[in-house]
Amino acid sequence: MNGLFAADYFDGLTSRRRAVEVVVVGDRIGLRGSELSLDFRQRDLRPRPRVGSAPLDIELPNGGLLVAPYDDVASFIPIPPLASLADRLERRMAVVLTALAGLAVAVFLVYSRGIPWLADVAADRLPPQVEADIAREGLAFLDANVFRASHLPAARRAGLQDRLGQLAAAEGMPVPRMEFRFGGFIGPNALALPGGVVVVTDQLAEILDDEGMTAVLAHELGHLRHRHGTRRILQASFAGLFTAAIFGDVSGGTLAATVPAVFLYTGYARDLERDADAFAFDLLRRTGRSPRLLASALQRLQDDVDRRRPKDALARPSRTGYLASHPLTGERIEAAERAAVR
Amino acid sequence: MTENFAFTGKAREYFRVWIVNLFLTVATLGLYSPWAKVRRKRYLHGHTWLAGSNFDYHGDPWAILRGRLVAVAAFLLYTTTAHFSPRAGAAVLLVLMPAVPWLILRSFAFNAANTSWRHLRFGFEGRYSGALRAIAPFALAPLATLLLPLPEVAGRPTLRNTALLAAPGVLFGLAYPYARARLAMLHIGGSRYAGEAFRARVGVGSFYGIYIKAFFVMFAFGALMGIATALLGTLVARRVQAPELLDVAIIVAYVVILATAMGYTQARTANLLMNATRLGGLGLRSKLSAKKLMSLYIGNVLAISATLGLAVPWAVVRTLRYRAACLGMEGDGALDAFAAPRGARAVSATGEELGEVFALDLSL
Repeated sequence: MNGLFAADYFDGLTSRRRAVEVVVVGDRIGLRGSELSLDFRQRDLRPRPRVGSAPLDIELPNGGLLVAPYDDVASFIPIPPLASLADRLERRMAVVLTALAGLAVAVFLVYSRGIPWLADVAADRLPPQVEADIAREGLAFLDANVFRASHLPAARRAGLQDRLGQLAAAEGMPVPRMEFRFGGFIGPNALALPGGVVVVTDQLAEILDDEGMTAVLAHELGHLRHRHGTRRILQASFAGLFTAAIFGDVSGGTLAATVPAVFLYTGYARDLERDADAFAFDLLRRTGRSPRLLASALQRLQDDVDRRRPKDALARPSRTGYLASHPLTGERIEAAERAAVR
Repeated sequence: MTENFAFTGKAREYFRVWIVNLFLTVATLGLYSPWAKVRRKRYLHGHTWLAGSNFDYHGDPWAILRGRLVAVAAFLLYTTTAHFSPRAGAAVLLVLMPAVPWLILRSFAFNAANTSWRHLRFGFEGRYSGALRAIAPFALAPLATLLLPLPEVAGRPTLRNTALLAAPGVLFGLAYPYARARLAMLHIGGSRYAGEAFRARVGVGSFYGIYIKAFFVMFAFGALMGIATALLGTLVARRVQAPELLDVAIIVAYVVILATAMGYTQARTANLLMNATRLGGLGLRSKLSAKKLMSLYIGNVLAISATLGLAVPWAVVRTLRYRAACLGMEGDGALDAFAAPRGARAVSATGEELGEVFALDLSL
């Protein structure tokens, strides 16, 4: 199509901007300005992909650049469709809405299914030695910063180790090593470290009787059975990588992206706790006990917290101890009751 | 002559670019991200104007992809080893450290070489030794941490041990303004447009002044936010049994405080650096208001948090609009008179070649 439009021309040698008129005749174009007259074949022009409402840049065979409003150019010169695929997607409302919905679904699926699945696969391929190293380093860190030596009587320790041994035997897994510590500020607590170590604090063993401890140990055994410690570490790594991959391009957004990330991590932790509870209910039943045992153990811990802080203004669950690191006490008690009547 | 910068991007328009980018990135498991980066930078550059002409970005997505794959590998190596063993993590960091000055130079060079205005490229040249000197103070804090007998010191909270534990943090705080100033001068001093070199001379002392003030601003603001959060948290937590709400309030408060500090330091350092920058017979003029930028950033993080990230394009656009409006060029020289270095044809691929090995965006 023949026609005429105004443009800027840059020769690529200086920063001088030259206003030109572009004359389109057949398959040729001519640039006309003061002391300037250039002619090219249309098929030698290389338009760069369009973005937003910025003018169109056309690279010329002489190394120069022609810059003009997109619509002026497009009405005379055909623009190859492949050069502006992303642009055409962005301009379609349907595409934008689909992307938005697809993104919501994809992000949900990646976080709820993809990352846990990936963590499982990786955890199963991890050499046992690595897990043992994690446990050793983790315990050494806690010993240095949190724990003190246990003053639990040797007979009680042996009794608890014995109960853990029975549970492990019923499940057919190797008996985990048991460590006793005075818990310091983490209070009454039990931890399952990757690679088969269960740590119990004196405070926990003092609040719960042997049957209550059995329920808690069954729960911790569930963490070990399903390698939750390792999976949690791997999940955190993968989630961080994924978040960096999609939000890495967002300057300033990375900061605010920490807000949803907190929900994510607590979400994963809860899933693992539910998982370990389900394992504990099953194991308790198989060893001739009731899942209700875990419910009453949790209730005793809750009562202990309430007794200790009768005038807690916030009426919130304790910030430390077993109940804080194993969230959703009420829900867990209910689940145990449900499992008991089944 | 006086010419002002202007950013003409629109939030609606940029949202479309952003959401399509994000979707394609997730749908391709991150492989599209280099193309997304190029598209995003082309949008932002293409809507930034000076003297009737806009900027452009020419990064090669394939070069960026190669750089990202290396970066992801390094990140994986570090996070996994650091999670499994702090000692091994520190060892990996020590090995990676000598590469950091080089990475910084590559990143500056890649971004400059792929930015153009009026069909002439920017460029960057810097020496490894210069970059090393600029960031060397950053190594003080990690080195001090490594030297501390951690289990022993952390075990007993005596006055001496507490002081020892705080030492790396204090060292970092003392080194930070110096390193930032040197790095900024390295960046500006090594940059050029066409054949012309940028020049900037700023006293490191004025950087210290800014960061000390920022510390007090942050402290005052932090105290204010802390009181507000505690009051609000108590009120809300009494009514509904939701401990997460308080956690979220604390995080939002934390992010807002960070945004305040960022707004303050960025406005002040940008003014200081830009007003000291010259290109040929021209000088940059920056008139950012710390108050305005702070409130802009606070609005941004609140909006982004409340929309789970969907407000990011809006935040980016309004921030750039303000920053561009506060920046200008003035002086006796002419913007028309810059000439390409001899022998270099403007659209040649020198930029891509430079960045081919490593295309890290360090956003320093």
